Amino acid sequence: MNRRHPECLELLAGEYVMGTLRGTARRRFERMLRQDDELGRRVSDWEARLGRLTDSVAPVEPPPWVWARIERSLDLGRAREAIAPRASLWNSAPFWRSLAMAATLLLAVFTAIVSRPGGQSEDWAKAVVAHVIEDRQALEARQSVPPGQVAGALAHVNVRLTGDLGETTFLGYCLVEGRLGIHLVVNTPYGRATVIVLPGGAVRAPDRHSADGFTGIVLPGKGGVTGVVTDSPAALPEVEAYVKDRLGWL
Amino acid sequence: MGPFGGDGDTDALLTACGQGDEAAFARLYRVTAPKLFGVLLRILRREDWAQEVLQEVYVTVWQHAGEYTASRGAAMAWLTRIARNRALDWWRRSRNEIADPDADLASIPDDAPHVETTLAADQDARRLQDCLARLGERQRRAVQMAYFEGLSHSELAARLEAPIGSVKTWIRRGLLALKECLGP
Repeated sequence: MNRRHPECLELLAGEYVMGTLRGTARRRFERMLRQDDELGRRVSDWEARLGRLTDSVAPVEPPPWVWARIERSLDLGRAREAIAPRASLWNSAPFWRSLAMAATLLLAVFTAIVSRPGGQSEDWAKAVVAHVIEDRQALEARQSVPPGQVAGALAHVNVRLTGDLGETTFLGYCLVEGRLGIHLVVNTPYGRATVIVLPGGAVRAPDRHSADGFTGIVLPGKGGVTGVVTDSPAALPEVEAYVKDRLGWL
Repeated sequence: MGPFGGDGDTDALLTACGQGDEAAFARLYRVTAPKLFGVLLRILRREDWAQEVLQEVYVTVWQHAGEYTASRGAAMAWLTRIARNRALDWWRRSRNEIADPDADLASIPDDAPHVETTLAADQDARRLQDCLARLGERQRRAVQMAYFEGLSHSELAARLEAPIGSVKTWIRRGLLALKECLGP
């Protein structure tokens, strides 16, 4: 094929946009493209023409962590406020209901925090378990929270949902050791469990604590602390593994 | 509305990204990511891959937005070009590593409808549909599979059970026919 012939270039441009131009031919064409404005125009024309085919592709909302990762890899800050998942969370009635519920409990939790000495890392397990005991109401919630809403809330604290967490019956904010975190109640195959995700918190190693029939463990993560609390202490290892497999700090 | 369903707003947002406007970038993502994610899902057929590539695409968009000028065409066309090229690159890198590229097909919600069923939205789309209808069954399938599934000539030949020479001819004739009926 005579590559300088206009009709041939036209077809090459079409096949380039089509995607059937592959390998060395594609790379050679891309080199030509960088040097030849006329060829660039041909490509633009083909993109407009064949792009019509994408009109038929239905849009699909990407999961919120994709944007979180883009922001992080580009080190963006100011744009954070403008993105949709945040807006949808703030506009969500169940979220506000759960926030209101969390607020009524805040005083009790705050009292628990100030009444405890220090803020050493060994207190995290105790604080998380104490929070679950204080907020027993959350365990009684029966309404299912849509998985998308859970993923969206977790994305705000830079935690990615890497698997199906199972039925979530409570989603709210919580304040533990002075850190604002996300509080979830999840029905795992090993029983009901509370998951508390605290960005900015730090523990050196996993640490356990039991009180009042509840057993919990706090786990170190890249961006904070994950707490897992259950009221069936024998199942804690399974519940811990179940949650660890499904949540990842970004 | 331009041929990509985009509009002047998208062009302005992309231009603002080129000037380092982070809020414009967030808004551009919000407005355009669902469309590009749909296109990536259509090509890659795996949600995890489409997510990875979508991330790559917008990182590239932010880093190269300064090269976009509205005079070079609609922003959506520019974005779609980056997304498709990235997806094709990804597909080439990955397909040798997996035995059955269609294995995860069932996990993707089938909300990427077929051309035939959704194109009747407006007059432009009907023109395209008429145009595709005139191509003849095998040429039309070759064009659609090449575009949406990112298949090469040899892959098309295997899927359509036809000699590679015929496939190349169908694609070229298909392209020329599209050009003729869709205009310059």
